[in-house]
Parts: sequence; C-alpha cells; structure tokens
Amino acid sequence: MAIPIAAFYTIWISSVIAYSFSENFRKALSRHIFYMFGLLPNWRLFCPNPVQGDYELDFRTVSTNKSVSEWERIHFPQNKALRYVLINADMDITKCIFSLCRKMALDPKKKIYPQEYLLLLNYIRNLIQPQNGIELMGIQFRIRWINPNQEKIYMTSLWHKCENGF
Amino acid sequence: MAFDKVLLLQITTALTLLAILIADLRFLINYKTLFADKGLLSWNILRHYRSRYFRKKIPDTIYSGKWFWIVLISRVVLICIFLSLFRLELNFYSELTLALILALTMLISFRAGFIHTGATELTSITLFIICISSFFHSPAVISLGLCAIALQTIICYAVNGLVKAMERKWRSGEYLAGIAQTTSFSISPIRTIVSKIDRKYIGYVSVLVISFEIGFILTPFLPLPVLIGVLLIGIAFHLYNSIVMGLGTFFWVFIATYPAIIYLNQLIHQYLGAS
Repeated sequence: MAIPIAAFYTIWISSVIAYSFSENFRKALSRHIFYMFGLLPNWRLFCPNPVQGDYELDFRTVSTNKSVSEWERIHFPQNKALRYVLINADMDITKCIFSLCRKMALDPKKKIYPQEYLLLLNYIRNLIQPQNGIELMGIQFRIRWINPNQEKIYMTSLWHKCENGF
Repeated sequence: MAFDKVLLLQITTALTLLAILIADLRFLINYKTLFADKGLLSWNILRHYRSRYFRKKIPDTIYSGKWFWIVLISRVVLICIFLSLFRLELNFYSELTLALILALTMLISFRAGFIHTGATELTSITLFIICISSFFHSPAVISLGLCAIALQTIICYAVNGLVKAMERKWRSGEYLAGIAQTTSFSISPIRTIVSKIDRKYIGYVSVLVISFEIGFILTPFLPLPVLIGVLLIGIAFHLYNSIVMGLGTFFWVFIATYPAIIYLNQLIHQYLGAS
C-alpha cells in the first residue's frame, strides 16, 4: 500500500507547489477550490500584498418621518492579549469582517448584490433597533478603509428596507 | 538519536486535534455573531451561492443557524473521546472516530469559508494525512505520512518567504510596518513602537522574517541541535503572531507539524549516514 500512497503524496505536494506559483493553474482550479476544503492551499499568508489598514463598517437609517440619522460605526471586539493566545475568539469576527469587506472593496462595481453585500446587509439589518419609539424605514451602510496615512470610503450601499427583502 | 515515528505521529495528532478543539470553541463563542440566521455568515444568504450539486449532496438543515451548532458540538465531543478515551491508541473505534472528525471538518470547512485562514488549511492537510496514516498503520505509511506533513509545512514557509522576497516593499519593511499599524492585526504598544522607530530597523526585521521562512527549506538537512534551535525560533515567531496579530490557531497548528519535521530530518540523516 505504501507505493500508491507515496505516489498520491508526490502528486499532491507537486500540485501544492504548482498552485502556489502558477497563476494559470490557480485560475484553472479557482472555480472548484471551495470544494477542496483547504487541501490545495496557495500558501501566501500576508503576501505578496498584505493588509495595510482596517476596514470599518458604518450604517445610517431613515425613519418613517423621513429624517436620516448620522453615520454610526459598528464596533467589533478587538481584544488581543496574552490570555487570548489559547482562544482568541475575536479573531474570527475580525477575519470575517475583513474577508467580506475586502472582497467588496476590491470590486465594488462588479455586482450590486454579491453574497458579501447581502451578508453584511443581513447582519446590519438585524443590529438596528427602533430608537425613541420612531419606526425605521430604511438603512444604508458603507465600508471605510483607514490607515495612519489615509482614510477612504470604499463603497456606500443603496438604501434598503429595514425588514427582510430588498 | 532515534525517534519513535508512532510517538511523533501521536504528538502531531494530539496538537492538531487541540487546534481543532480551540477553533470549535471559538466558533461556539461567536456562534450568534457568525453562524446564527442573523449573523455575519447567515446560511439563509450563503445557501443561494452554493451549487445545486452541493445542496443536493449535503442536507441544507445541518448548516442552518438552528442546527449547525450540533455539528460543532459533535466534533468537540469526538475529539474529547479520541484524546481521553482512546488516548491516541489506534484501533477500529479510534480510527472510526478520526474518520468522523475528518468528515465533520470537511462539513464545517464548507460552512465557514469566509473565516478560513492558512491555519485552517494546514489543519485540514495534517488531519487528512493523519487519517491515511492511521487507517493503514503500517510503519512505511506512517513514515510517508510524517514526511508529507513535514514537506507541506516546509513548502508553506518557503513559498511565503519567496513571495515576500520578490516584493520590494516587503524587503524594505514597508509592508511589515503597515501590518503592525493596523488595529485588526496588531496591538497598541506595537503600533506605538512602529510609529516611532526608524523604518530601516523594521526593514531588518522584515528581512529576518523572510530569511527564516526561506531558510526553512534547509531544516531536513540541519544537524539536530541546530534544527531544534530553528524550531524554537519558529515557536517564538508563532507565539509573537498569536499575541500581537491574534493568530492563535496558527501557533498550535504549525507547532503540531514540528515533530514531523524532526522525523524527516532524522530520516535524511540516517539515509545520508548509511550511504
């Protein structure tokens, strides 16, 4: 049994190397990569172009009396300390927000409703609560990019109804 | 010095399962924010973006906010059973448990795509190889498994190092400084230090990181004491990343593969000594 397994490992490891370095190989497999559950990585962690800032999510609402609120930032936990080495639960949220915003920001005009857009909308829609008894009619969100040298609005969503549906 | 390959595989298995257990605990802590129907990764939205083939093969309900936690809990229970009841001994039942853990890992991987990291990928790879090695448990297959794990890790470090080395902004330290100044992947004291320190020193650190990553290609050929030193640097590197950058799972997953690197190193030295 050792020989077929050795052959399988050889092909697999060669594919990983090819996938890491060959743009054509990556393009050819990009549609199927989701179904490989991480067995064919491209091993480019924080490279070649790593994150150089933070994404921030803001939202604003419009109430039934047509008044539009100020932009409000959505705060996500940012607790990193020695005790989080074992279980840094906040990192998953940071990573998730980052992945969603990055994909949107890379190509903001490609589609109006890509899945990342709908996921963010669904989350923000469920965050907001009617304030001071005034019923809310619509929401809008935006993605900002911030680093020490630059602050930039990457995209601003359309206005959406507060209840489910678009 | 001769290392028992079964023992090395058991250490790798235990650390890999620990990394998966930590990932599950994180998922369960964040369940409401991430996987609930009102969460960031609501299945009500995501399901429309999975192929019809996928939806046919995997029952939709197990991914819904109502039921997905059962999948996560099941993996936690199976890992606890494997680590405590079987104590890493291989028999029919422990192999079945490992196979179930791998199957659940695949299921969870499909659901949690947006929070995939390099650590998730290395965990899947290591677990997959561990399963193959466990099912056939012949010495030759275990030996091949350890070598495959070691090679995957070495490729991971080397590719990262080479890709960074090709980027001028990585070599100059500009990118490293940029990462260290983010809120998402850095902490306040480091941000302060980086904003005050001369950029040329950050450039030196960046070159050191790149050299360490590319230099990892040499680990199979180093004398054992030097290899242990390199692996200790690796542990310190991942410890820094987990404290400062918040990449906690990376620490456990990469450390899990180090016994395999020691094995590959010893195998090559044996071969070179014999010839």
